[in-house]
Parts: sequence; C-alpha cells; structure tokens
Amino acid sequence: MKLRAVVGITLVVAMIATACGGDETSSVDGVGTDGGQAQTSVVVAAPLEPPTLDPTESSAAAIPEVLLYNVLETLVKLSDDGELEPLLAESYEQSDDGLTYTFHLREATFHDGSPLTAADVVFTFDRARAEDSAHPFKAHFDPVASVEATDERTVTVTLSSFSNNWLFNMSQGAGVILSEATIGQVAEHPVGTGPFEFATWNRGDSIELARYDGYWGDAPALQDVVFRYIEDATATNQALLAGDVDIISRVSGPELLEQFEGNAQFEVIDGLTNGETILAMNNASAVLADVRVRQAITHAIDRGALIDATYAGYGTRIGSHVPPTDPWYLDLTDLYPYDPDRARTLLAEAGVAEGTSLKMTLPPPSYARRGGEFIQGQLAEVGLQVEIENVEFPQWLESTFQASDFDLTIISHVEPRDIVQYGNPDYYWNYDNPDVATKLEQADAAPDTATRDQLYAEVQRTISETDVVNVWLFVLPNLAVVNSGISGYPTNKVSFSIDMTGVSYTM
Amino acid sequence: MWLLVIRRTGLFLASLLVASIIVFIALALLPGDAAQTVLGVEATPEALERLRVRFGLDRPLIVQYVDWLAGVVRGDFGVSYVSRVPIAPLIGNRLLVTVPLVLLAMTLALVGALPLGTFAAARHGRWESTAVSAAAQVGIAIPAFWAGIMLIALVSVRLGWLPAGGFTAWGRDAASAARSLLLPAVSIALVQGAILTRYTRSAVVDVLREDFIRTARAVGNTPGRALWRHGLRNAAIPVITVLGLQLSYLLAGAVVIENVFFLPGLGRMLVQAIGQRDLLLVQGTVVVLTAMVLLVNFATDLAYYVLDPRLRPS
Repeated sequence: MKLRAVVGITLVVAMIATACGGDETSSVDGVGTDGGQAQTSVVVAAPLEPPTLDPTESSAAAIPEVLLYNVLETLVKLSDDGELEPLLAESYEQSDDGLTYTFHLREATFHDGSPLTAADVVFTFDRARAEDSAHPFKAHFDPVASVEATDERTVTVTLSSFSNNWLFNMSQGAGVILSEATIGQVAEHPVGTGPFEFATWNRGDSIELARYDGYWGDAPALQDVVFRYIEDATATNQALLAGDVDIISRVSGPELLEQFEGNAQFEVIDGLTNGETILAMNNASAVLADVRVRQAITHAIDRGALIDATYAGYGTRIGSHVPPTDPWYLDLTDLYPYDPDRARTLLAEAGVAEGTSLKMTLPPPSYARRGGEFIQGQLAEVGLQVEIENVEFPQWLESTFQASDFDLTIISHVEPRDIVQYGNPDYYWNYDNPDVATKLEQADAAPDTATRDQLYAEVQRTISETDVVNVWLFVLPNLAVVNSGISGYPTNKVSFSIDMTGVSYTM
Repeated sequence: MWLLVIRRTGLFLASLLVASIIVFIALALLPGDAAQTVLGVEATPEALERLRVRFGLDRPLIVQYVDWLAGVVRGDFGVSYVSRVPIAPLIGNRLLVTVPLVLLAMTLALVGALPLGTFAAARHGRWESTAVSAAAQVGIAIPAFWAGIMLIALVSVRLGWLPAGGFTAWGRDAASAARSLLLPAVSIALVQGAILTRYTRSAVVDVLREDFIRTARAVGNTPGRALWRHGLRNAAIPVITVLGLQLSYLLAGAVVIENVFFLPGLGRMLVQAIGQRDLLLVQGTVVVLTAMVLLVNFATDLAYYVLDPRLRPS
C-alpha cells in the first residue's frame, strides 16, 4: 500500500515536470522545426572549448575554430581549394622584387562601429612582432621589416627577405586584424570586422555569435550561431539525434558514423584537413639511425589496412608530409609498399636482432592509441618488439616532443604547410639534412610557383624516398555530421576555422 | 563549548592546509606545465620560458605556494594561467551547477530509498523484501554513466521530453536550467538511491530487533507507531553517515555524469584543469572541495548530536 502510494506520487510528479518541459522557448536549447524564425539559428557541437578568446595569447586551435572568418578577419582568406582570396584587403600589389606588399583596405567597420583603418593593421602587426611580444605565432612575422600606413586605407608591408609563405600565414589565425581600442577585452569579448559578432560566452557550456548588421560584405544567412562544447563522443551523437545540436564539427570516433550513414535526416561530411598523421621515428635513436631499419618498418606496415582497422576506412593515404590540398602535393603513396618479407631482409641486413625492443609513446587521440596497437602487431610479425607507453599530452610534449625520449610515436601534424620542420635539426625527429634545409629556404624565397613547387617536390622525395624520416599513414579526415536541411558547411578544413559564413538552411 | 568550536575550526583550517600542500606538490611533480598548454606544440623554448616568467612559474615552489596562500587568506584565489580570468568566479559558477545537481540527486535518492528500505525491512523474510534487495543490488551494479546514456536515449532522443545535456545559466532561464539537471540527477539517484535502500533496510531491520521495540509493542503501540516514535531515530544514524559520505563523494565524483550530459560542473572543470596543468585553478578548486567535504562532515556530526542524546554533553 505504502509502495503503491510512493510510486503513484512519483509518477504524478514526473508527469507534471515533463508537462512543464514541453515548450521550448529558449533558442539556445535547440532548433525547433516549428516557425520560420528558428530556421536562422544553428548549434554546432565541438569537442574542445577555447581557454581564452585571444588568438594573440594562446595557440589553442579552438580559438580560430570559433573566431577566424566568423568574427575576426584577415587581409586575405584561404579558399576551400587552397587559393588566397581578398578579404579585408580589397586588392593588393606586390613589388617586382616581391619584397613590398601594398594592401588596399575595404570600407569596413568593427563591431563597435569604429571604421577599419590602416592604423589598425599597423597596430596589429607591430604588436605581434614586437621584441617582447608573447604572440604564439611571432615567428610568422620574422620576414617583416616594416609596416606602414601610407594613407587612411592603404598599408605597405616591406619584407627583409622574400617569402612565399608569409602571405599564406597572414590568412590564418596569426593575421587577424584587431583594433587598438578594443584590444584589452579580446580575451573575453573579441571585437572584429566579421559577418558575426561575439554575443556571449557561457564558460564550460557554449559560445554564441550573432549576425552583424554592419558587415561590409554579403550578410550571412544565419542570425545566430552557437558553439556547444561536448567532449564525450556518445553525448555528442545523442545531442544531434535529440535535436539539441544541428552539426557535429569533429567526429572523433569514425565507427560512430555508421548510425548516421544510412539516416536520411543527416549528412556525413568526409573531407580533407592539413593533418598529416604519421608514425614518427627518432632518427637519432640507436636502432632507427640506420635508414634500412626505417625502410623496413615502412614495408612492415599495411597502411591501407591500418586505416580500415583503426579509422573505419576514413582517411586518405599520403606518402609524404604534404596533404593533397597543398599546391605542390606529390603522390608518393606507392613508395615502400607493404612487404613483410622485404622488411625482414632489410632488418637482417642492418644487423637488427630478432626481438629488438622499440619504445612507442602514444598521446590520447584515438588514431594514436588504436594505430599504435595495430602497428605493434605488424612490427611483431617482422621481429620487432614494440613497448607501448600511453601518455597524456603534457607528458607527451615534455618527454617525446622536447626531450626526444622515444623511438616511435604517432601524432597528427595539423599546422598548415609544416613541411618546413624538416629543415630544423632540433625538431623531435632529430633529422639533420642541411640540403633539405637549404631547399626549404629556397622554396620559400622562390620567385615563381614553378620553381617553388619543384623545390618542394624534391624535398618530399628526399624525406620520403631517400631518408625515410617517418612513416606517413594518412591525412586526418575532416569528419562532420550535418542536419540534412543545412547546406554550405565546408567540406575541407584548410584552415582551423569552422567557417559558418556560407551556411544556411535549404528547406 | 568554546573549546569545541576552537578545536573544530583549528582542525578545519589544518585539513585545508594539508590538502592544498599535497595537491601543490602532486601537480608540481607532474610533467608539463601551463605555459605549454597555452603556447602549444610549435612553441620555441624561449617563448615558453618568457611565458613561465610572466606566470611566475620559474620561482621556487615554496615561494609560489606561500604567495598563493597569502592571496587565499585575503579571499583572492588568483587568476587562471590558461584562461587569464579570476578563479573565484569560475569556481562559483561551477558550484551553481554541481551543488543543485547533487542536492537534487540525493533528494530523489532519499525519496526513493527511505520508504523502500523501510518497507523492505518491515517485510523482512518475505518475497517483497528479497525483491527490493535484488533491485537495489542491480541499482548498485549499474554504472551511473550507462544509466545516463540510456536515459538520454529514451527520454531525449526517442521521446524528446528533456534535453540531452547542456545547461542554461540560472539567471537566463531558471526553468530550463532546472530541466537540464533532471535527467543527470535521476542517473545519479538510481545508483545512490540503491545504496541508501540497502543501508536503510539493514538499519531498520536491526532496530526492529531491539528490545525497546518489543516493549513499545507490548504497551500497545502498533508496529508503525513503534517504529516511527522509537525506532527511526536509531535507524537514522547509519543512514546519515552514508548520506554524508555520498554527498562528499558526489561533489567531485559527479564528473562522469557531468561529462555524459556536458554540464559545466565542478568535477568536469577540475579534470580539465589538471590536464591543462592550470595549477592555481586546481589548487583553488581542491580547497573549495575540501572545505565543502569538511562542512558536510560537520553537518553530519551535528545531526548525530540532535538525534542521539547519548552524544550530547551532559
């Protein structure tokens, strides 16, 4: 009798609670399909919340994800097919010797109403390249000798040495233009020139952006964009299924895509990024110093099977440190094909005994942990004993990245155009080839694209074929799931931005 | 009486001090630091060093600790290395999520467990009691996060009654905030309620066996009245002990549920802060957590004094 009473009361309370929960009045909770007004708001789920909103203070990729091209703008923008288009710079000229850039700025206003002037560009660049600047990408401003405002809307940048990559770097998070008046509040309330303005930051939960009506260009279709931060992959999927979010911007577990593949309500996006996922090898370690050993390891790994086994078949193979979206990409995927017998022969030639032990450190991402186990099995087949050490990121940074205390590790290098690291003998691979370093410098200074591409091609051949610095596994795919009614979500992720400027509802 | 208060306060402060020292040393021993988190993988050693100096991370540990302590005594918990905002409001906002969540969860747990446990004890030896015990066993065995995921799948995805997670600030939409806490609270309550049911059942069973209950029946009380007037106070003591332990655990232990429902709670922030080596934020959070646990212990002791006359000073 007592039990029935308790059960009865609980049921009644539950029914009242859910009856009250029936009406969704807050636009943040989710997009309702009732009423045309709700069709201009999109909620995007992302895994990592930015620690701060100041891109000049922290290198966290989560910052440009939210702000780049949405709220903050650069002089030029990287298009989906890797070309530089004018953005805040309506047009620009380059001098014959390539050292002087003259940018003509658009008529644009910051979100606080003040106009964009050349002084803002000078302020932003000078602040980044100052002696004591703590800008995380200060190195990108190294080629710059001077920045001048030649008039209200013209900026002249003079480089000390010709650099092909400088303008490219200015199209990324490093080159966002900020104003001196609002620089103090950037960390919590960034003010830019983009089509969306920053609205609110609910720490630990979400960041909200709203359409900026004074935008210089075409108004975006969306009125509100909300970035919701959910780390757990299952929770993210359920949020999409329940309608609490409309887009999953990064799918961390590709096997979870199965439930969306066949579902007409959702569209799975499988594009490219700049992330070269590699099995990095310590070229200075006792065993791996011999190139034959590195060749053997490459032969021993069935890279196609690895993608199927660890990344559910998503991921494009690459043979060198350049993703297919870069203009000088060379297809070297046929080098050192899967051949365990050849691997064993090479190891015997190099005098590596059966059962030799190698230390593999693995950071948290799933491609590393799963890839590591797969590779451990494959290398065991050719007589190499891999000891796996799972580590957290700070530990990985300290022991593997800085101290080079490893033989093998798996990591994805997501910075764009980072092939330049092969010219740095102190980089954690301990690869020292002055010829490659020279060619990389020459490529950056190359006067025309043909020469530049030729040089980069030679570098790719050297690091992949001749020196086998690392084993290139695949390009980290840009896996996203989008509600079918939404279009315009970028397929490839060529910069860190989650570009919402072209997103709209089609229904 | 005053001696008691002084002793208690002294113990309180000493516990906070020791806890903060242990955490400080533990974090200092871990590889990696906040400068690395902020500047990332491509940072040059010089940039890292410059940032460390700016943060004050290059100073000897003792100096860093004493400096932090001096601030806390003044009420200043410092500024987070990673997000550069004052720590006290960060913790405060997270408490506004976790504390209501935990209180709601324990209330639901109690509302379910007390009647159920008492009922099972009263029907001791019969099939109803065994059924309740078995159900409680299942409840204890279920991982709370699994319960959470299942509830989301049923209530949010299939039925659409409640959100799958997330949290709107109390100030913005209190009704929505309350709704966001319901499913997470139920997930926690299922497990904690099961534990409480078992404890309630065994406590009431023990009390019902006592002589004074037999006496109460002998002088004419119905079984219900005998239990209510004479038994429950005694049965309450072990139950309150467990309740206190559960509350202490849940304040940080709710992190798993906070992750499943992506709530901006205290546990979730603490785990992130540790991963980012955000030293001062971890310190501040641990101090607050320790203080809250000590408060719960104090409240439990107070409850004992109220319930059990034998413990009161005569």
